[in-house]
Amino acid sequence: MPHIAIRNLNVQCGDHQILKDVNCDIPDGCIVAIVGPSGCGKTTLLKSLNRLLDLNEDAKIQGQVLLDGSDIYGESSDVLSLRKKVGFMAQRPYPLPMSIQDNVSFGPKIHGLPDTSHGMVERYLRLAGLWEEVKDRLDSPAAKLSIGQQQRLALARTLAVEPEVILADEPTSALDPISVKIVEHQFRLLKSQYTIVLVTHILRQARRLADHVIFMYSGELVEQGPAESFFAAPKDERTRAYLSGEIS
Amino acid sequence: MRNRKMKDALFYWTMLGSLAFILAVFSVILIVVFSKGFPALRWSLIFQLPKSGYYLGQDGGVANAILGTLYLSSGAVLVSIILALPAAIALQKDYTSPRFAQFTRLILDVLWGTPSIVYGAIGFAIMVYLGIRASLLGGIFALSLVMLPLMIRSMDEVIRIVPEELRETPLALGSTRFEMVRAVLLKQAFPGILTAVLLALGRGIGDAASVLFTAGFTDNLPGSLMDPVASLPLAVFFQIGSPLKEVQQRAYASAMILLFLILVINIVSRILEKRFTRHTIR
Amino acid sequence: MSVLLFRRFKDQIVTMSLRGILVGVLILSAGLLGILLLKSAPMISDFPLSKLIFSAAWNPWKGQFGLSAFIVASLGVAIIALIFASPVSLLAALYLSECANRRLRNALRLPIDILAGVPSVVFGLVGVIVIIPSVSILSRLCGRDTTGYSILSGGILLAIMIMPYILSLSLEVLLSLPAEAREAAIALGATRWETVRHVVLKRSVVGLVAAVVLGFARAFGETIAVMMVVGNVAKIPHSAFDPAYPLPALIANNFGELMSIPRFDSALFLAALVLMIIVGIFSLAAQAVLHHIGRI
Ligand SMILES: Nc1ncnc2c1ncn2[C@@H]1O[C@H](COP(=O)(O)OP(=O)(O)OP(=O)(O)O)[C@@H](O)[C@H]1O
Ligand SMILES: [Mg+2]
Repeated sequence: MPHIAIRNLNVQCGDHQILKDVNCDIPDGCIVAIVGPSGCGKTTLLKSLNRLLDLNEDAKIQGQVLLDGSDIYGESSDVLSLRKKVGFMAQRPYPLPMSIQDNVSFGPKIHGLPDTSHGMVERYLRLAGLWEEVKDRLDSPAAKLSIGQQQRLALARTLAVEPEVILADEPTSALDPISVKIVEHQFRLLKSQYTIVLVTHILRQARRLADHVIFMYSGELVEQGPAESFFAAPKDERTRAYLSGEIS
Repeated sequence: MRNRKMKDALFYWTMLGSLAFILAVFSVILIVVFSKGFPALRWSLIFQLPKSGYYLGQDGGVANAILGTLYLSSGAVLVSIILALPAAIALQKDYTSPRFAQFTRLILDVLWGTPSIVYGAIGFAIMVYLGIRASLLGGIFALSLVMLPLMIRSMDEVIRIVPEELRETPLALGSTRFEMVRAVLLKQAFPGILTAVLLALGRGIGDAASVLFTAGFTDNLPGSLMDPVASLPLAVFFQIGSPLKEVQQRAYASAMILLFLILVINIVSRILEKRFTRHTIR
Repeated sequence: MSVLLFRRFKDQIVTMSLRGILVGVLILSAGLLGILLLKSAPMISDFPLSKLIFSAAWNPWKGQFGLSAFIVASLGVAIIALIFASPVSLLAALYLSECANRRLRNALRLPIDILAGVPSVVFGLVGVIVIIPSVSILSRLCGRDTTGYSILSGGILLAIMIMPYILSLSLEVLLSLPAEAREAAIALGATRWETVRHVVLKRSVVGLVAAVVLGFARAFGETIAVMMVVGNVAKIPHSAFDPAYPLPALIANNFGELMSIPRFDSALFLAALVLMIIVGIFSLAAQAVLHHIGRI
């Protein structure tokens, strides 16, 4: 069974159909990259997976998103526990207005997880590859970190609530090349334990990281498949055009 | 071409002149109040209650009015915070439809502009109905009516500018709305909320019309909420009306104390605004 | 699971209380207007409204409660205030938005905010010390010998009081205009004055008018400062040097001892109602405009 299965997902905002009948399966334990030109609905698709889209009052959502077989938009689904299971990292990292340490322990505390100790904070900061840089100033404001560090803090914060899935919306777009390398490296280390869905603008990044690729074009899911075959032998005309840089 | 340039220069200098005029008025007010008030200032004026015959030029001070004003305005600030902060949060789009919020904001802005003498009159009507005399309680009530719209709207404005993505951050971790409000909105807007409170405090300290018939005036300190209470603006107002030179002098000194309090509040609010931005994002 | 239930429960409770308090505040506001209506109802039912609003005969002990002298006085001081204050404030705001850099703007925020926050009794005191003697001298120059307690003094004092208010409101309006709007004119070689006249003023005129109207509403309701310099004589003034008796001063001066004369208290509540309605109409219109601008 796929970890996440999207069935006939339609999203409408006013008259504008943002997602058109999207169907796909997201397998367990690998990195899935969503690629496509700007405005094609990548962020929308990602946000629909942990119901962050609900915050947009005029977004109408139809269809199903099955997580381990049960519909997250169904009656019995609980949005808070869903979001705990499915973490989300925004395009630009927004630290919470508190100290570095409190940023990491915020999630475990609100969910009442048993371990909110210093050791827990250290563990997740290490997992996000940030520990060495901040271990001496855990009490200083998170706002003082560089953007690259903030993005890794966002990763640590997401990991600390013990999710199964990590959704990341262009997690490296605000970063410098060195930070990009570090973050990509962390994702590679994490993929054995988590399902990672990553939106990216950069085809080379998708090539470097992804095991599975989804190509979106103006709200439609055009093509998907294992990374090798996707890049080596794209089936759809539009995918070919996108890969060769004709549409972007 | 020369004509155009001359017009432009003329325009420039009238603009600059207007700004300079406003700043000059500001300085004149400070200079007049401090130069008239300072020579008449005595320690006894600040620390003593009015003695018998005070209004005929005998000894004493306006401690009753200084403390009374602090009681009145801090009481009203307290009441207003308790109502204004929740109301300001409820105005955010996380809790209310944008249309209702927009309507409420408009109403509150109009209430903000309503003259405080009107609030004084309404407060008095309610007190008569409830059988309450002019008292500390009545003054706090009327002053709270003055402060409430001002405080709700200025808190609302600073909470409203917290970026959308920042609100989404804790929600994406599975927080409830209230947990998000506490972790992000209140923390991020804290310096602004503080400014709003101090703005209201300054307004309360300076407001005379709303307490004129709701708080009364007395030479003593109130022993309970039901006792009448003096206030600094009214002390200035009553003393300036006196034909006696000594009493008028004291009006100047009292006005100086009042203005000084307002200056301090403004400056403190600037300093606090800077200081509490430690954890603020961006 | 119980943690989750508890969190949800707490969130529900908080949501309900927040909304409840907001609705409570709105109900309270409506209640305030209701009380004013209720209290002035005896007056409105006993006398025709035209007699109350348009008659200048104010003799409470004879049962005459014409408010027109007070309404005219209020309009008078507020209009004089506007004539003096609006050009100066608008020009100063234009300087700050078109010529000054951000540092100067930030530096001047403090004095302008303080000036706006000076208690009205302090303004009144400065008025008594500075404006009254000056107006008295001015009246002598004009061939009239007056004390200086006059509608003109009230107007000048109010002008000073509303200047910082109009200044900050109109500055906000001007700054909300995008820089590109000005750049288009400047790129064509327009001078600063031409840019202001053809672009800035044209595009922000509605907001600036709203700012001025709010200044007017503020002046109309100001109480303590005005009553310290305006003379408080209940007659329709015929020149700027005549004393007058604005509505807020009427309420403030008479509220305490209102019980002995029948209907007197109701007349004063009617005065407060008239005050609230006039100020309310102007500020509702102006605020609606400003809200509309802000939303675009
Ligand atoms: N709140 C909204 N209301 C109306 N339309 C919206 C809203 N949010 C997004 N859209 C529209 O939905 C479409 C898809 O947006 P989305 O943000 O998902 O694109 P994207 O693929 O993430 O683009 P980018 O690569 O630029 O981030 C766009 O056309 C956008 O204009
Ligand atoms: Mg996007």
